[in-house]
Formats: sequence, structure tokens, C-alpha cells
Amino acid sequence: MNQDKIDRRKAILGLGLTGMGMAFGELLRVSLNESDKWTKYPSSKKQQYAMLINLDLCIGCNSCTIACKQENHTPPGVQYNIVLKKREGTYPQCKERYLPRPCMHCEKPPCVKVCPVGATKKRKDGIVDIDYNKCIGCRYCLTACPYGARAYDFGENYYTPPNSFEKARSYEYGNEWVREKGKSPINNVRKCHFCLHRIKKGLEPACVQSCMAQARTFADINQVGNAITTNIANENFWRLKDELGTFPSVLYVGKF
Amino acid sequence: MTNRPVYYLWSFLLILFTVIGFLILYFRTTQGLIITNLNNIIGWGLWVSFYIFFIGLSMGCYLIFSLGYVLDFKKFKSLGPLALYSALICLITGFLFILIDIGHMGRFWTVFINRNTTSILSWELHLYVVYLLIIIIQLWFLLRKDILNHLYKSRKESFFTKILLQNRELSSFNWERDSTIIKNIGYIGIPLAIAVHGGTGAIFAVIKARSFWNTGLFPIVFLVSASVSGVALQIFLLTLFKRGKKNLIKSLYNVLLILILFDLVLFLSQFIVGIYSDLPGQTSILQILTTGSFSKLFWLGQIGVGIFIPLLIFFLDFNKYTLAYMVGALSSLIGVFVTRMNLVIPQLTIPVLNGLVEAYESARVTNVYIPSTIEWIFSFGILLFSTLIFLYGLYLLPIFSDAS
Ligand code: SF4
Ligand code: SF4
Repeated sequence: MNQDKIDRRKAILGLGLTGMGMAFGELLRVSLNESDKWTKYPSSKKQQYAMLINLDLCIGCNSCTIACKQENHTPPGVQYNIVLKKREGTYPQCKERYLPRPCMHCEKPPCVKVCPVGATKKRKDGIVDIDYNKCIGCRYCLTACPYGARAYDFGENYYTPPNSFEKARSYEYGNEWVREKGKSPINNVRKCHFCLHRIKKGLEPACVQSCMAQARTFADINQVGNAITTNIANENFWRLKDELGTFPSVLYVGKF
Repeated sequence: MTNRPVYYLWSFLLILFTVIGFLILYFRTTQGLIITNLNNIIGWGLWVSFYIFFIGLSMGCYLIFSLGYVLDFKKFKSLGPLALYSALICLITGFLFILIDIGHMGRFWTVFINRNTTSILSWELHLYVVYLLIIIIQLWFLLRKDILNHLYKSRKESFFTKILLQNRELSSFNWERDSTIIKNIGYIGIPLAIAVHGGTGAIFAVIKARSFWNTGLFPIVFLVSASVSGVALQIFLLTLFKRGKKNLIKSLYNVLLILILFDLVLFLSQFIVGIYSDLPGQTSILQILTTGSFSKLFWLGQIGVGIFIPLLIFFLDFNKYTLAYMVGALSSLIGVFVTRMNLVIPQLTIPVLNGLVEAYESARVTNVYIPSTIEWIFSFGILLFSTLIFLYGLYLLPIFSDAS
């Protein structure tokens, strides 16, 4: 009797360990296959919208930042596009360099992986999408994004009561949103969506159009014969934090 | 289980606080997280620290329960009911903290229909529910003999009596099986408890954007300091309610010290590897902890209160005073909480890109985070509420009947 019991326990333990082993093996198999991809770019032949930013042309005027704010009616503290600054040297021998940073629409986005409700997803066209009606506002993605591209909408406004600009509709991820207390997109995490509503109409994202230095180019990475594909073919680009294996779809040319 | 007026007083207090609590929760739903001092650089703060603290506490208590009832350490068997019961309350407290931390509180339940298999958090939330059920089932089998006996004796016709006794005679129940059932469930429960809290650590550890978190050691650190807090809580409760023999408390305290030292070793390991590798991501956080804005919390809270005082009490040999053990345990508990804050917040104060904070002028884009008064009020509200349910259950359930 006692002997039986011990045998049963061993069997259960054995089964458990085998299960764990198999799970581990599967994980290994998947990740090894994935790492194979790291050598090639872009890693798939699927559609992927991408942006090329020429830092040698950028003059740091922040008109992309403003254009984005106007287009998406973002509240205080929420900014989809920012321009990072770097100063070198001291006056009078000094230089300032700029790096505009939208959401990178990573090919392997860490933010998508962590979302507990699957509210943030990679679309077929390569844009990383947030479903504001699904998002519970846990801010896990905000913590996980290596580029600080996400922002939480605390529900604040520039004016109290909000003025007509702040109350106006915005069109994010192909939907219409009006910011009202307690309703999405308030209490959600928000980010750049490559102006999906404009792309659908055949327009460029607002930041691309507003850039007076024409530092930004926007295209589908897997379409032949556009400015971005030439750069990729010539390997004339770099990406932010490439070592993390996120495969950003925002490519940079020039020095930061 | 007697003493009517006291019972009514408790019930009244509990209901009062529950009502107030729900009013406050309503306030939280309408206002959103605007009432907190969180921002877009530091997205997680005080409430998340409390959440991981209590989930860890729950796991620690559960392991102590398992020592006696599953792994057959006879010495710790008397701790079982209290440990399991506190594991339950701590888990619920942890839930409350994560609940108020999410932006759309009303959508909380959707995590159980919108699953994401690649998300640790999604897995965790499901594991919590299984873990909760396991604790409840084990608690039932642990206490049912006493509860049913009591109900049988009091012979009052109430709803509970009917459901639980089902008109059966006490002799028709098979008590012998209970401990086997508890044990067999425990074989699932122990790995589950470890997965639950190791997973909580993994929520942070899998974030490759944050190099201080992104180590294999991180979930283990969580597990060990959770065990520290679990043992400390048991010592604290036993001394507070004057239960448990002195040499039992003494040996628990020894266990506590071993765990504290083990925790320290793990921490040093992470620290030294960080310093040695000279990576900015690692050294900057160590700098923030030791000399920067978190140095007070680190030296006074984590090291002073969390490690030094419990050690001091051990070495000064206050054998006669259980009070000393109580103080030691309490200070170690506080120390673990401070450690939790130090694990979460300092890493977030380092922006993922240089110049991220400066690039955009806003009160919600800053790398300074000091919890707002309302955050503290909410936290104390939840702590108070949990203490009340804890005491209420202690009063109603036969937790202590075979402990002393
Ligand atoms: S940049 Fe950040 S938010 Fe955008 S896709 Fe990558 S990880 Fe996600
Ligand atoms: S904040 Fe929203 S989108 Fe981000 S991880 Fe949480 S649920 Fe997903």
C-alpha cells in the first residue's frame, strides 16, 4: 500500500518534470529559430510601414512635435513624437544634435508581448496598434518599451474646462475618439500610430508632411523602389538600440 | 466565537469600512490615476510596490504552512492554520492593490477573457485565481472539523448550518482523510505558490529595456525576500497574539535570520556583478541607491531596518523577551517592503533614452516620483481594511484552536 503511494508520487513528479522539459525545449526551439532572423533585415516579406529620418537634415525645430500634437489632439504629458537633444562642447565651440523619436513600430515589439489583455497588437501593415477599448491601463507596455514611446493619458487638459481643440475628435487607429472623463482614451496608454487615418487616405503622417527640412521619409519597407528600400539595400541606415533585437521600423541616417 | 457585543462591534466596523472603501473606490474610478503622482517616465509606484509585497507575503506564509502540513516538519505543524489564513488575506490585499493601480478599473475582469499567452502578467493573474482557490480549499479541510463541531454543538438553524451539515451526523464525516487531502493539494500548491511569486518577479525580469531587472536572478530575489517577509509576519503575529511556544518562535527567528542573510547574499551578488561590469545601466542604479535620491530608503530602510535591527536583536540575545522577537520581525517586514520599493522605483527613474525627460516640458514627464497623499491614504485604507478582515476572520474561524 505504502509502496504504491510512493510509486504514484514518483510517477507524478516524473510526469511534471517531463512536461517542464518539453515546455523548455519548445521555448528553446522557438527562440533559436527567431535568432536566425536577426541577421537579416527586414526580417519578413510582409508589409511594413517604415520611416527614415535623416539627422543631418534635422534642425531641431520641433515642428513635427507640434504637428503631431495638432493632428492627434494629445493632452498635456502625452506626446507621440519628441525631439531628443544632445549638446557637445562648451560655448563658443559647441554643437547641438537632434534625434526625433516617434514610436519605432518595432518588428518584434516588446510592448505587444507583455500586454495582459492583448490590447496592443502588430497589424498586418506593420503598425503597432492599441485597442483603446480593450486596454485596461496597467502601464506594463509603458514600462517595457525601450524607447519611451508610450504615454499614459491621465485625463488632464490644458484648459479647464477643455477648449474646443481639446474636445475635438481625434482619429487614432482608424477610430474616432473624443476625450471624455473616464472614457477611453483617458486612462489608457497611448502612442504614435504613424497617423493611420492619414495613411488610409493616401496622405503622409503629419510629422513627415510638416518637416520643413524634409528630413523624414515614409514608405512601405517591402515595396520596391522607394527611398527607404534603396537605403536598406545599401545598408545606409542605423537603428536605435539595435542590440535589443526589437527591429525598429524607424531608421536613421546621419549622426546623433 | 462567543461574546456577542464584541462580535457586533466588529461587524459594524467592518461594514462601515467596507462602505467607506467602496465610496473611495468610486472616487478612484471617476478620477482615474490623476490623483496619483505617477507620470510617464515612472509608470509604477507605491501601489505596485505594495502589490508585490503582499503577493510575496502570501507566498511566504503559504510555504510556512506547507512546512508543517505537506513536508511533514512536525515542529511547524502548529503554525499551519494561522499561516494559511494569513496567506489568504495577504493575497486578497495584493489583489486590492493591483486593482486600484489599473487605469480602467471597471475593465479588470476582462483580463480573464482577453488572454495573451506571451504576457507574464496575463499568466500571473490566472495563476492567482488558482492559487486563491487552492488556499481556500486547503483552509476548509484544515478547519472543517472544528467549524462543523462548533456548528453542531450550537445547533442553531441557520443558512450555514444547513448547507455545511446537510443534516448529517458528525460521526458520518470522514476526518481521517482531511490531512491527506490537504497534503495532496499541497503538492500542487507549493510549486504554484513559487510560480505565483517567481512570476511576479518575472513580470519585471522579462523587461529587456531595464537592465537592472533583466536578470535571471531577479525572480529568485523576489522569492527569497518573500520568504523572509512570510516568516517575519508569522513571528510577528505569534508574538502579538501571544501564541506559540517560545522555542518555536526562537527557531522561527533563526530561520528568519538565515533567510535574511541568504537574501543579502543574492543582493550582493547582483550588486557586485553590476559594479564590476561597469555598464551605465547597472552602475547608475547602484549609484541612485547608495548615494543618490534613494540612499535614505536604502541605508536606513533596506539595510538598517531590514537587516541590521533583526541581526542586532539576534546577537544581543534577548532570550527572555518575546517583545524583542516581535520588534525584530516587524522591522524585517518593513525592511522587505522598502526593498520592494527599491526594486521597482529607482530603475524607473532612469529614463530609457538620454534626454527623454528634457525633450518635453510637462509635469507628467519627470523622473522624480514622490507618492501623493492620496496614494498613501488609499494604501492605508487597504491596509486597515485587510487588518479588519483578518481580525474578523480570526475571531470567527477556529484558527488558533490547535495552535497553542
Ligand atoms: S517603440 Fe515602443 S511602443 Fe513602439 S512598437 Fe517599439 S516597443 Fe512598442
Ligand atoms: S496599458 Fe493597456 S496596452 Fe499597455 S499593457 Fe496594459 S492593457 Fe496593454
